[in-house]
Amino acid sequence: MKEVSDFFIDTVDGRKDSRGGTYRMNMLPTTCHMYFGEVTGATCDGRRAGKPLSEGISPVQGADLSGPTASLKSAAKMDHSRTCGTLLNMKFLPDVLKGDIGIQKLASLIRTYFTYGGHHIQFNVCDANTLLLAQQTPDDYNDLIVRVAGYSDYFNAIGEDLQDEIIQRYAHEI
Amino acid sequence: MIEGNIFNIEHFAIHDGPGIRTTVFLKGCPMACIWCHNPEGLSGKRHIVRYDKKCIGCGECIKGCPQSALEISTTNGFVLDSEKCIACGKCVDICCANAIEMVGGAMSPRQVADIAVKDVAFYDESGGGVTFSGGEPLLQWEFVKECSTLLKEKGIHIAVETSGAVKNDAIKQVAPHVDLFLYDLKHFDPAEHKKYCGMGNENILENLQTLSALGKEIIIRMVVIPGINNDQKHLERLCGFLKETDGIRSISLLPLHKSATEKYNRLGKEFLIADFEIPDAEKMESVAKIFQNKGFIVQIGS
Repeated sequence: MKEVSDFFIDTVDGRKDSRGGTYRMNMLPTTCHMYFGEVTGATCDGRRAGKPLSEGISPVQGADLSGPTASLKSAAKMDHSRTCGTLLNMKFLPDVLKGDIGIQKLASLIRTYFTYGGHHIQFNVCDANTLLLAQQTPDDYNDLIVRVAGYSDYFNAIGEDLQDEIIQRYAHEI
Repeated sequence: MIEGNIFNIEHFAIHDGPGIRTTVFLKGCPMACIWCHNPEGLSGKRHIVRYDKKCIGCGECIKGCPQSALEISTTNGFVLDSEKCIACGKCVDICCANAIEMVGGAMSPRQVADIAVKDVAFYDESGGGVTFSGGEPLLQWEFVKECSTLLKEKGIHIAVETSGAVKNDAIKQVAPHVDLFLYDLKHFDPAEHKKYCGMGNENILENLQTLSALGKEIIIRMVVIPGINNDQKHLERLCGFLKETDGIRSISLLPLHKSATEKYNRLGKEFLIADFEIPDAEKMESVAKIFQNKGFIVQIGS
């Protein structure tokens, strides 16, 4: 991560563009990852041609297998201060971080990321539509964590019946 | 060198004790509770599980199995003859659809500590640490002790989630290396306990008193199962016993859930509680009230 990002910044940063401006590195794609994905062929990580690229410095869809703490540590390895901004997206269902204790744990997660030098993190608190998509294309949602009952688990690791049940819980949000 | 038999390590575990934690699941359990939600942790041996939905029916695993323990099925992907299977793991390597997984593997205390230490900044920030769960982690108490010694070098908080169904000596030996015990109680009545969990609870209650006498910090955990352990008289007797036990910080009540249905399918085991009632919020509150009336701090469903 660090090697690639340093190489990229060293190569790009400060070069002149055709309109007299200067290139800087910005890892905030807004919605560009969709467009860039559309015009990019298949990649060796298993991504098919035309499919979205990852969101900013978020793990490639399906590559986050070791949970949020590992993603944060990896994302924090690059030198964020050399960029004009970065974006890391993380997905949770509302129940995972419910209540005061849940919010405290989320706060600790964010603080630790910033301690490591992270810059910007966004949370996607998902709705039932996302879960329906996750059921159809599980490989794109390896990182989706849901609260089951008394514990949390990867959405993909639980049975279809239970997935349906969790989707029902959020059905009012569709 | 001692090794542990581990079937999962979960990062960002937020329901197994205070703060952000890493939970290490140790394989093997002396009990056989019919509502067990980690049935893959019951057996102390490693074994394979199948994900029928992922199976594409290519049949390569059947060709590759040296024990001829696999057979193609018309409805369910493939079937495994667990009598013949020696858990060599060849089919796991062969399967291109990731439909077969190995559950359980040997790890050294150093390997576990190295993985758990990666998240130390998260523990420090949140007041978290490492939890040993299972299965029954204290069946491998020497391993837990070794891991704890390594983790303590980094000042990491150690919790153990236990059924208490182990030798008293194991409890005494491991206690100095553990900061917090999440102690699961299923039923206070020995006969009922035996009926649903496969063994009486005398030893479990004695071990709890041992921990208490050693001055350990304890959180009691109980899965609330309507019709089995939510009866008022039973709970009041349990409260009476716990009142006599020092060091109990709080009671954590968890509603019964059936999320393990699919896990039982993967293991080819029958899930005996499929018809049981899931307690609603009202039932959970009424159980909580009984403990609260006796002066306990109660958390529901966390």
